[in-house]
Amino acid sequence: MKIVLIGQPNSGKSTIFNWIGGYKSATANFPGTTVNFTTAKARISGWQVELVDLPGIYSLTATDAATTAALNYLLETANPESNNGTSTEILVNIVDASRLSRALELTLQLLELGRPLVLCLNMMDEARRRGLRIDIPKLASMLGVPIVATVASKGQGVIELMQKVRQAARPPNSITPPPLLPPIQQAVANIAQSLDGELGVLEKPIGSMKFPGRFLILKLIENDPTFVALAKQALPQNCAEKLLAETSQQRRLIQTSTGRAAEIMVAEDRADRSKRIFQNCTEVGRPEFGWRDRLDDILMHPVWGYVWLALILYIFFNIIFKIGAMLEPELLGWFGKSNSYILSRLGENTFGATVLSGILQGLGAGVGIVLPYLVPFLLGMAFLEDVGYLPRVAFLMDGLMQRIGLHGTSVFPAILGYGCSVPAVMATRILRSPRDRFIAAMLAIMAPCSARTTVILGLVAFYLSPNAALAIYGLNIVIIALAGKVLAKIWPEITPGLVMEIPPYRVPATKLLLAKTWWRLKEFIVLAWPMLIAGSIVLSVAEAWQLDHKINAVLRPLTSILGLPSAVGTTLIFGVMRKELSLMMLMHALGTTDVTTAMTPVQIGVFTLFVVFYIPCLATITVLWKEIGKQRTILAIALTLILAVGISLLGRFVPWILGLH
Amino acid sequence: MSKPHHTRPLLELPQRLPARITRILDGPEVWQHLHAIGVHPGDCIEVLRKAPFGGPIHIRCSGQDIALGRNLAMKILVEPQN
Repeated sequence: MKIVLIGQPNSGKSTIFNWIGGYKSATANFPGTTVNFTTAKARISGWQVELVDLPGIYSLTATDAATTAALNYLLETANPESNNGTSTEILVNIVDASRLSRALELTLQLLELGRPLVLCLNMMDEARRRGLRIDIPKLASMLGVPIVATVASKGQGVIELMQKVRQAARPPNSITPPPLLPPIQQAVANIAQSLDGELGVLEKPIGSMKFPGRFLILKLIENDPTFVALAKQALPQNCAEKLLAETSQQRRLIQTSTGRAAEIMVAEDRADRSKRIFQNCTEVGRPEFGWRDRLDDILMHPVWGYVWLALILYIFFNIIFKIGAMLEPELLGWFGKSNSYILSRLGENTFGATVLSGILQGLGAGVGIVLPYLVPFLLGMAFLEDVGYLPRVAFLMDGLMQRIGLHGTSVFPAILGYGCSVPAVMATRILRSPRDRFIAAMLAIMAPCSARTTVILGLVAFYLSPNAALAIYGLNIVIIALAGKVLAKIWPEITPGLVMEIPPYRVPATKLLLAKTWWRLKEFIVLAWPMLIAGSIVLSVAEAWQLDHKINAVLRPLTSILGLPSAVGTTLIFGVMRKELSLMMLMHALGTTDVTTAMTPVQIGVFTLFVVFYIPCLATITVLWKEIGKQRTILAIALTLILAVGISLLGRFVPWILGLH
Repeated sequence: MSKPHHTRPLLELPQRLPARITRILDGPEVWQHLHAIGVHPGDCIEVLRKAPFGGPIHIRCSGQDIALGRNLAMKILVEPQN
């Protein structure tokens, strides 16, 4: 049994997915978190299910990458075939009940697919706050589907939802969508008639397609290119030609009889039907003008909004600095001690000791350096996301972002970039044009990810000063802005303008915050930490066999230009594997845990600048390759390398010119 | 009978003045885009605030909050309500 969760962005799909499937999908309170669909297997009281969490979409018209991904799943991957009378796949349409009127438009389209469907009215608490009272039995009878009310953030109604889904699995529902407006109804009937039964029954799937003919005809009247292509591909040639010819005839007819384009009429018809159903089944009372509106007045204020933004980010990073700085020396000291104890027992010059010392260094880097900063950072980030602050940031920043050629929406990849470049690059899928995606991806990989944050904090904040670390962040933002401006100049484009939902503030559920933090942390533990340890072993061995000298010799032109000790050459190679390796490897390569004994403050600064800006890590390169293509990935690598050298040179010579050397 | 209010672009609507959308100018692409997020002709709409630096405007349309770029806001014609 497969359960496919589908709904608009921010309707709580991922939250429900997490409740059932065990916290594998990231939830966030801003549009477009799930760009790739996530699946999980779960057991619900002995019942084995597979969950699919599709990206949030507003309609079944593919206007962006997220909708295309969801649509492709529904049209191709999905398997609606029945198994002795029971369907093996149930759609669960998750809807934000407080925005029911609009959400019903997608529901009506999903009903056209003719699949078993359960409607989940989520965020019922929010709906009540907005003064909305929904007559659920009436809505269920109008739509002809089972409905469950939930408050997923608190887990309310989720079990009942699963029970309804299980019942829906037994008798295959025959769904009759609510009637269409006369001109469109007429057009559908005419098209079906002209084909003289060649399409079969309108309510049954046709040809190799997995949805009813009626839905195809409606999408063709809308002139949806996805479906025009599909019809040509899935139907016999003469049938497809006849169908398309008749459709364009009917489109013209609608245009002349109503004075509106056919696609507008179809969409308007859907909006109209949704609205009528909504008005029939709901009572709208007075919404509470609550603390949320007052909070928006403060946080989105044209002047104070920015002050609050700066303050919030300042506090956010300071808390992370403080917690990390408190834990780091403790943990590192403890690790250093146990390290030397174990090595003294083994004897320093054996091969086993070399490997073990590498393992310990790798473990130590994870425990001592990454975790103290990563855990508070991920937790804080999850909090800002779930509370709903990020779209407000996008609102405030849009005007400024436009100056670097991007929309406020691109703030999301950029902000995610401060966590990890990998999801940041993936998040650029929410942008519509390839040009926006490339620029946003370029800028996102330049934002210091948590691994690079570790380097900045572990080196600059720890050995120089927290203010120096802040200065690096400040410089980074300036460079990103300049890079955006240059890229936008090279590649100008007129964009249609921002349309973004601003979700209400929500008190995040602690369980979900922890789940999300754990989910992201797990990526570090499962993917990065083993790499960290493996890298440490390789470096240990390379050092024992004196390979590092060869690597350092090859990189000497670079390190000498930057005025760095040639021993750091290897660390830069390892930094490409994982950025945080460069810090850990630095201590290893210099043979000390106190970097100041081997490097001057300027050298520490230059090294950090170079690591912050140079080539993205292997994992990021992999997703870049997938998202923006080979050529642009190579371009991104070259550009970041050139940029890193340039900025590091500035970092080397500016203090010298100012006489600070 | 109330005095008829003249139609104007959404961008020129004073803040916190309830209005109704009368028309959406421009081609089907803009129309579909707005439609998808739930902005239709006939809907009640209100401008809550405008972002500085030529940024978007914050509107409430049928109970939902949306940030809308200024070019788009010029293409939505509204009529203030009493």
